[in-house]
Amino acid sequence: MTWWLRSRGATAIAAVIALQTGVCSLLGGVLVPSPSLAAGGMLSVPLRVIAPLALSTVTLLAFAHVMQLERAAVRRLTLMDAGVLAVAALVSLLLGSLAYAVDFPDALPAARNAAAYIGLGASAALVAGPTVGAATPAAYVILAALLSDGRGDAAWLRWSMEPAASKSAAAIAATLMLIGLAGTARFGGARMSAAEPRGSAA
Amino acid sequence: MRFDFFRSPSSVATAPLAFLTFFFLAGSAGGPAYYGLSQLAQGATAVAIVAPFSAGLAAWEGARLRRAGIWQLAATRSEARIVIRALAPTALAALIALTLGVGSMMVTLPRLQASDLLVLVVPVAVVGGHIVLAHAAGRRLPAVIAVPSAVVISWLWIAYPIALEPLWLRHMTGFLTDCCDIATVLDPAAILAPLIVSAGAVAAAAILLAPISTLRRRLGAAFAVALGLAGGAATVSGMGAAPTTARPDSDVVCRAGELHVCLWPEHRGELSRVQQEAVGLRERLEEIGVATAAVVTEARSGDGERWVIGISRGLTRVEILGSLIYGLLPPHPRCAETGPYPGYAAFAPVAVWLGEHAGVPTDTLRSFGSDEDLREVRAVQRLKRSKQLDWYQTNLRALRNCAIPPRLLTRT
Repeated sequence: MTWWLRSRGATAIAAVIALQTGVCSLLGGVLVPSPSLAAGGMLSVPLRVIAPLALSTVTLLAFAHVMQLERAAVRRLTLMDAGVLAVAALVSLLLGSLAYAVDFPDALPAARNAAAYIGLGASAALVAGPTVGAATPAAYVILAALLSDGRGDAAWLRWSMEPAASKSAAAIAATLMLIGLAGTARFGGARMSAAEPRGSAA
Repeated sequence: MRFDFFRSPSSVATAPLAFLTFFFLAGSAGGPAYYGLSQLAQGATAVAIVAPFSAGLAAWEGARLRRAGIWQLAATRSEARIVIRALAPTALAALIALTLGVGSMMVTLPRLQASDLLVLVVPVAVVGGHIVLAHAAGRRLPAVIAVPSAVVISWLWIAYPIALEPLWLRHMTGFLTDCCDIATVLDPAAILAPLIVSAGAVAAAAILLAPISTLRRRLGAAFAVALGLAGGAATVSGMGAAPTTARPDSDVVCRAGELHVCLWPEHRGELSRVQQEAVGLRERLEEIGVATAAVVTEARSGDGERWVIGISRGLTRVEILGSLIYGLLPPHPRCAETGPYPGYAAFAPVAVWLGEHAGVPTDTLRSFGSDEDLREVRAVQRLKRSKQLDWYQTNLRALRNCAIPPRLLTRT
């Protein structure tokens, strides 16, 4: 079990969760200018939208090296893999909620975004491999900034920029997380490392 | 290992990349559409989209080579050749997107000078630097880390400095926003700084891929990046928000006559109209004792007494008159940037008073100042001509000096 936890990068995941909570509590509201097609120039994206990408990336990094031998494991490794994702998201949400209660308003939306990115990344990794999986949340963030105008256009895309009180953002994040968890519980980490895209070998 | 663009992920990315670049530029606003340098610089802002996507693709290509174990096999080609072939599709995709982006800004057929084309070196060097460094990251880091990190770090590096102070930080990234209105050109420092930073990135990539110990590699790469940043910073430190400097006076084209009129070459077609209006205005103002300079020019620097104006193409007669009248008012003194400037209260009334004497229709005068300013001018016009001139001269001095209060009849 110890080796299995180590293979899933538990220490790195814990460190990134702590770092994310700290950084987003203190600096989550810092605005990063981003090119925007809809706004016709630049749009400001809060750091709490960008920083949680680190957690989804580190979480998926562990699954990039899972050996196919695990498919023959006696234990229900697929459920355990889903458990890693769930615990990472829940611990992040717990710490974010605590920081939110102590008056750090950006910590909770950052944790919500992290949970959503983990789910989104896991879903993409199951289909196209861990590299595409890790790149998908990053691509989402940049596309959301590019396509929304900061007011009404493409509002469905900018859920990650909404504050903690947004119910629609929470619903989208929960949906993405659950899809990722369900897929991982069904297929497991071995599927993610096996699902390399075509042409990935030189 | 042959070059086959269509077998590369970059070929799939080219169309969406070009699409995003095109629509980003279509929505952005810059200087006059007929000023070539402004259009080129605006096209060059496509780096904000092209560089992050290219960096992601380059990291992907680096990771492919790493995963394939190419470097553990017996070499039949040099490493440089393998890297160039691997990165060629990414570079080609970036070049296509940049070309389409810049090309889309050229549909207005602006007037171009050969020196304007130098601005294109910036996006090419910046995207090249990002591609090479991201490739090295892809070779040295797991793809899962390298690809998203390359995209996000490249994106943050280009976009975030705009939100930071000191303002000159933004000129190190090669994201040429705020270039250029027609009276400015790109500051050479704003071209040089991103080139130096990109050179640092390429050097860092070379060190990252060198067959030396991990510690030396990391220290060497960090040193190369730091050196590039320091060089870039030294080049642009002290600059303001815009990467521009005044356009050389020698660029203007002139028309001799009773009044010597000099305009930027893009406004050559307006020379006769501006001269005609300026001559008429000067005659009307001389009747009331207001003297004007003998040279009307758009050049902002230079010696001698000059009547500096700013126009654009296709102005109406009244708009040209407005520009000429504002050209008679002194520029805000430097002290206005740091302390109180009471003379500013006289700016609009003096403009309205000059406009009245220049024959500007009353409706248009309302755009020169508020109702309060118009009331002030009505009160001034009830004075004798000599008193009106005193009012004008006193307020002109107040506009030039923060220590002199304006003289306004209807305000205390």
